[in-house]
Amino acid sequence: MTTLTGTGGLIRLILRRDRVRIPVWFGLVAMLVIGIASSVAGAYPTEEARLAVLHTTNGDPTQLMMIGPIYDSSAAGLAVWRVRGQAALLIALASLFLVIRSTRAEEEAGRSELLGSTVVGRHAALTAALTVAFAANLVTALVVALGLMGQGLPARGSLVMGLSVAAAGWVFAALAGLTAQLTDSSRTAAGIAATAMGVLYAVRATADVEKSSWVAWLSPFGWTQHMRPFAGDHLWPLLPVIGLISLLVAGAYRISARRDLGAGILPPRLGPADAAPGLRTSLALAWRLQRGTLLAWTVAFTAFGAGLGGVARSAAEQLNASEALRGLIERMGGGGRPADGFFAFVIYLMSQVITVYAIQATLRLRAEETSGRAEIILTGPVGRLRWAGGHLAIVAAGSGIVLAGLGLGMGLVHGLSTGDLGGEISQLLGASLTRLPSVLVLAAISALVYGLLPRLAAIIAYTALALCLVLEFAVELLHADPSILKVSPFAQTPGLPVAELTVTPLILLAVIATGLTAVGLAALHRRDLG
Amino acid sequence: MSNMISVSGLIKTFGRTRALDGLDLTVRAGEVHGFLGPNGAGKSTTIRVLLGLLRQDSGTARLLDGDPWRDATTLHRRLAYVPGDVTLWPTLSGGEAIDLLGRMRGGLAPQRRAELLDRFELDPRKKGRTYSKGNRQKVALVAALSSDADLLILDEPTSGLDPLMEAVFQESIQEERRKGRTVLLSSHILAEVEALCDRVSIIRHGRTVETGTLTELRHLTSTSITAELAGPVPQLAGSAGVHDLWTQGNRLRCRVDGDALDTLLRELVKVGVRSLVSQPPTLEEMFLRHYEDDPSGTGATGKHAAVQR
Repeated sequence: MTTLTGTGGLIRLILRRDRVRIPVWFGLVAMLVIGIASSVAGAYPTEEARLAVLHTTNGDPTQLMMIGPIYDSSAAGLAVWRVRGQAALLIALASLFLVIRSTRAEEEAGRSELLGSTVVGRHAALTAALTVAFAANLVTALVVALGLMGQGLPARGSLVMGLSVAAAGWVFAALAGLTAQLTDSSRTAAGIAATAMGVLYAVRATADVEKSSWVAWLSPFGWTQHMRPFAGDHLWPLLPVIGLISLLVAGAYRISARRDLGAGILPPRLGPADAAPGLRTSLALAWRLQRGTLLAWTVAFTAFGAGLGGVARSAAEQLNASEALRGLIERMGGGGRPADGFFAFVIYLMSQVITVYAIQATLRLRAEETSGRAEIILTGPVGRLRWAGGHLAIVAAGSGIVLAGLGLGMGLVHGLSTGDLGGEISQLLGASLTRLPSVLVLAAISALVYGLLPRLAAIIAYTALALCLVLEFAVELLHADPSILKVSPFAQTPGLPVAELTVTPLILLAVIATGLTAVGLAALHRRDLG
Repeated sequence: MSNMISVSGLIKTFGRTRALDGLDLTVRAGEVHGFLGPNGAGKSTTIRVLLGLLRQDSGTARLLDGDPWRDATTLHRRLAYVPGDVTLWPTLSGGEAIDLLGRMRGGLAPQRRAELLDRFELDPRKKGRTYSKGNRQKVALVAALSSDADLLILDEPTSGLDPLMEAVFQESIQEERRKGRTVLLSSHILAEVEALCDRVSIIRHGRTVETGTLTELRHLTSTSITAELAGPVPQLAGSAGVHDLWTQGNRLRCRVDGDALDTLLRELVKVGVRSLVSQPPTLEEMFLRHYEDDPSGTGATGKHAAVQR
């Protein structure tokens, strides 16, 4: 097929360009699975201890929502459960970005045009990207299987675990292949695929909380979960996985065959000939550039909050039935309302996800700089501090808006079910917004590294967030001293609505965020640009 | 204020690469100054230092009587810049970008904007990501030319324009000159330089190798002479300022430096001249000489000599 000519060369190009990125992302997933599997056995050495975890977890709606039920009380069964959610989401993201980076992003940058003029077929770029992504997932599956077998776990279960992780990667690689064809912007293409990922994970979460098996079959995350490694070892859920991938890939090729290079399926629209009167400052420009992303995050998290508000009631009933959890919530300082414990936990988790928005929006500064667009603004009468300050102001306000959306969504739906609309909204809105200072500390770290080490800004900023998440694993599984959690700004914020509101840690976090940002801006003021 | 830009001994290194190595540049008020040099000579680095985007390692740079690094924001009110490779915001239309840049500089005349859009045949409604390279360049040009800045800094502004638009550009710069504005124009298009520039500076390897008016520079370069004499050609090989000598019987061809021309002609007239063709250096030859020459001065006439021998 001449449309595939040059695929081999493009595969080598992707492997060369991403020779660090691919092993890091996919290696991280494999290490996560293998590492957690080896530590779970030590953390819960006895069958009794593991049974206790199984009963607590399967009766705890927050855990059911975040990860799903435990299917087997063996050490392997527990390990698989503990890492299932993170591994699937992480590998899905890795695959999605890999495909978008090698297809739409290349096209948008104009590099495909250069390549396309050589002996390269129309479908070569898409085929090369999908081949690399599928292969990377397959290798990850094999590494996971070998790593688990190396710990003495059964071969069949190890392989099924590896494949269940890879299946998530395959599905979202294929989905990204399709969304890359739809729009002429790689940012939008990645956004659509990531949103679909969030929605499908939420479908799985709802299915597990509501214990509804037919809902679970609506999401690929439900399918891979039902492969049940070490607890039945099913391979047949791979059938719908393969079916969906075939549909997505066929769709991608169909659009790719029809559209022009560089174009999406929607024809480009004309814009206004004159700027609106408000577009006259660098802050106005920053708002114009960031508002689309902010709107998408706000809508997504308001909807997500509404979903959480919807399951809160049945979650609360299940929490009530669980003696151990009720005790836990009371120890956290909570009163009689079990739904509060649920909300405190999900707000804590969601604030970490919303931090991704804050980091992403802060790093927009770096994208503007490297593209040369910052230069156009900064050679006008706009100082660097004013330019960067405009973007950072939007990050701060935007993070607050997304958090408010989450709280509002939860309060609205939960309030309708309890009948106290005003009370629930104000309580959950407040609880969400207390998370703002901790989110902003991570944004401030991003601003700091952007000023000091611009080339490493993205890596360091996301690593800092990942460290906050890893600390919890360390405390839970390796029995590390819980006081190390205090390093994480997320653990510093009082767990509203369960805990009492204390203002001191919030002020402290705000001061830290301001200080880090100031140092970052000072560094930006002194260094070379571009 | 007679000098809009004065740079001396500018040094800027990136890691182990020395991009600027003691560069000097003076741009007088009201002139169009050509800034020339081969790719990678350091033109854009110099411009980025002047714009306060990069900080020099040593040497001095003054722009509009201010420090380009320290006073960047104030100085930028009085200048407009067109980069060589214009990137626009993908979601903003060209018209929005022009308005935004103009308003940040303190407003732009709507009439002037409309006139320039018309002249450059630019559709301001298209989104940034759909413009071609030439059209992105036009957006930046319209934004710069519709401002009332004292100084225009243009870094290869016409590299994506068609010949028709090139003519429009030259016409617009002539207008700016008549209004008394100063222009620093980095360019590879020699016809453009010849048509527009009062003075030029040629740089190589981060250093200024020549600066002056085009007439002055021409004088520094050699003239080609082809002559038929009445008798045998006298002994000329080794005469100062005569290069690439070729003789056959009564005929000769050579190149001669500006200051040796008079001596050579006297020698020829002694024998008697039947015909003489003298060609002043073309602009192209002049630049090739400066671009190719080894800066240390060894092998003074470079490739030309080698090829002809």
